[in-house]
Amino acid sequence: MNRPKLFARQSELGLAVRLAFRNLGRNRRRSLITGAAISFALFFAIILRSLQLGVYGHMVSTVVGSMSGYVQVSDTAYWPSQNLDYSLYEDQQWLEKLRQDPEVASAYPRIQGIGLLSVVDRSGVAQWIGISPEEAQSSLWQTRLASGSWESGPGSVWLGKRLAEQLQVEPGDSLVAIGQGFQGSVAGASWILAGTLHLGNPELEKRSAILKLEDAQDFSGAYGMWSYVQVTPQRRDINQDPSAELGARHPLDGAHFLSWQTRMPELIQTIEADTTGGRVILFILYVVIGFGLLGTMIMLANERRREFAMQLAMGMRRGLLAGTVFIEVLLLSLAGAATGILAGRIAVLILERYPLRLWGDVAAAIEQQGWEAILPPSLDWSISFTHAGIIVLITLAAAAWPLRTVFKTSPVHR
Amino acid sequence: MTNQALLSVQNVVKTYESSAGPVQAVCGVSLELQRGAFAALVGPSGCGKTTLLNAIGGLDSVTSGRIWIDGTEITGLSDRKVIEFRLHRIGFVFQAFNLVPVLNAWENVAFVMELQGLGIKARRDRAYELLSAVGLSGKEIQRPAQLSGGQQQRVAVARALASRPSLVLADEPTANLDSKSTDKLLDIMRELNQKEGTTFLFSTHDPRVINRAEVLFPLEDGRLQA
Ligand SMILES: Nc1ncnc2c1ncn2[C@@H]1O[C@H](COP(=O)(O)OP(=O)(O)OP(=O)(O)O)[C@@H](O)[C@H]1O
Ligand SMILES: [Mg+2]
Repeated sequence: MNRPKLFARQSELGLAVRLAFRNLGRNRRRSLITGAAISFALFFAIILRSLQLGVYGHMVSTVVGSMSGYVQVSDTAYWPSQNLDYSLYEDQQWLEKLRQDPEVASAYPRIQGIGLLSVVDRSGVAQWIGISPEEAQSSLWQTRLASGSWESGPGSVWLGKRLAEQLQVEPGDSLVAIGQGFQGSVAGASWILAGTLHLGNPELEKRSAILKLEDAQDFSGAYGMWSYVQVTPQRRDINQDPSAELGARHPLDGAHFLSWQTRMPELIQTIEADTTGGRVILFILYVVIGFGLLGTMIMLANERRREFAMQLAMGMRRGLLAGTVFIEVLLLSLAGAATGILAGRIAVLILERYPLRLWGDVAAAIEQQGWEAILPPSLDWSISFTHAGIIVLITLAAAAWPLRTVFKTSPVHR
Repeated sequence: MTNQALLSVQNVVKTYESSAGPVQAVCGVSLELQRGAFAALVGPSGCGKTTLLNAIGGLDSVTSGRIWIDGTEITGLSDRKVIEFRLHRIGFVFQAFNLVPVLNAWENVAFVMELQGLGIKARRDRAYELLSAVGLSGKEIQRPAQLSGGQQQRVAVARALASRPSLVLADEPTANLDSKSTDKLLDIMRELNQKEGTTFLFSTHDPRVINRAEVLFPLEDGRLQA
């Protein structure tokens, strides 16, 4: 005996699809409202998650991307003290090979430390970073110039905008720098301000001083040395960590590859705490929508009970009748999901073009913590599809009710 | 059972379990119906007509006893086989809620044929032919909601005949109809019965139907009266 198939014949599938479409049209207002509820939930979920993940990406790229780097290659003793004494010896050959790795977008050696800058009677603590000429040429730095120029002779310094404001210096002014040098030496120099920089993060703008790599080595006495190599991998998602892979492919004596996730566990914690909040909101939304859909489905099942009985009495198989109901709900949920994705995508693209900017106390608080107060959305399609999948599954789960009715209804007519 | 009988019911008992204890709705009914008959189960409300018809149509199980239709013992068939048997051999007309609301008249008539896997052309031709036989030419693409109660019942009769069943079971088909519609429906069924030789078994307490039936099975308290 062959097992019964859901649709024993092509004509059965045709009948099921036709009945499903007609049933959707039968209570048009209800179908529209149900579809709208599905799309609205999805629309909301997409915007919420896109903004959330977008903000994390923004956080990570401002804090990590240009400054400390997604991946750092440093002496195994460099972290967490970040002491100049644990520097690496320059290895250009190794660096060239690393740069040629297809997984590597860029790799820039740097040397950095802490110093005191002063002009007349004003002073400020700065983290000085020596960057290579290649890095200075990158569009990242080129686009950050607020005033002045990148074309400048030896002994030039570029300050974060707020630090320059604090010191009340303009390009062309000179400053005195003092700090701890390599292996206990005293570092001291006089620099000329070549430009000021937007760094996308107020905290960074208050304490960054950018130098040419050679000037920095000269200043600190760490000749021929790098504090670390800042590596930007091709894959930069929050949940990606290619450091181990890269480390295995490009070993360097006495050094290791550290991802930002390892170096900044507090950043990951912040993100995780926040993402949990977002998930809870979405969970509540989905529960509410789910019960709403269940209510609709129960109504639908009750309205059709007699019709189901009649169709069963005629000789329609239960499987076919169930298939008809399933297709109806599937069509409804797919239509809702499609419009939700479309609307969500359009909204996300608009938010990308015109990112939300926070204002007032919230903005101030956020900037205090070091973030630029904007909410750029993530454009990741997987957000849309994940949530579309979730809502379609919720709808289909709610359809279990009418399906159960189909299997429980007796063909006895009353 | 006799060989030429289309329907043979032997000692059928149906007991419902209800909260007030078991209810004997049919208590050992035996009857035979010849091919081509135009018969009615008659009796007061609650005497067990619907219960017996449902058992004959394989819609409900029996507590004991056996039922043969056209040589097949339907009380011995599996659920799946009963559904298939119903699809091909039995036509139903109910008192109400006969039609699929989202299908128009001809599609409702063709519904059973579609379940049987007949092609669209064959289905439509036969549906139009049957609708014309029940006097509904021109109403083919109306939905049930656009038809009167009597017209809906006629569509249901057309559908019951669509697959050329051995037996048409009709449970109080005229209960919701006025006398004019009742007469018309009965005329149509009688004509189809005589022209096509389809066997009809009604349940009714409607004197207009009782008058037209050839054979009567009087039922009282779940028992056939002599
Ligand atoms: N599901 C059920 N559970 C319990 N008792 C039932 C059930 N269905 C019917 N009965 C009882 O069985 C008896 C016969 O009912 P049935 O519906 O067959 O009568 P009927 O002759 O069709 O009546 P009517 O002319 O009013 O339609 C009645 O006493 C009824 O109360
Ligand atoms: Mg009845």
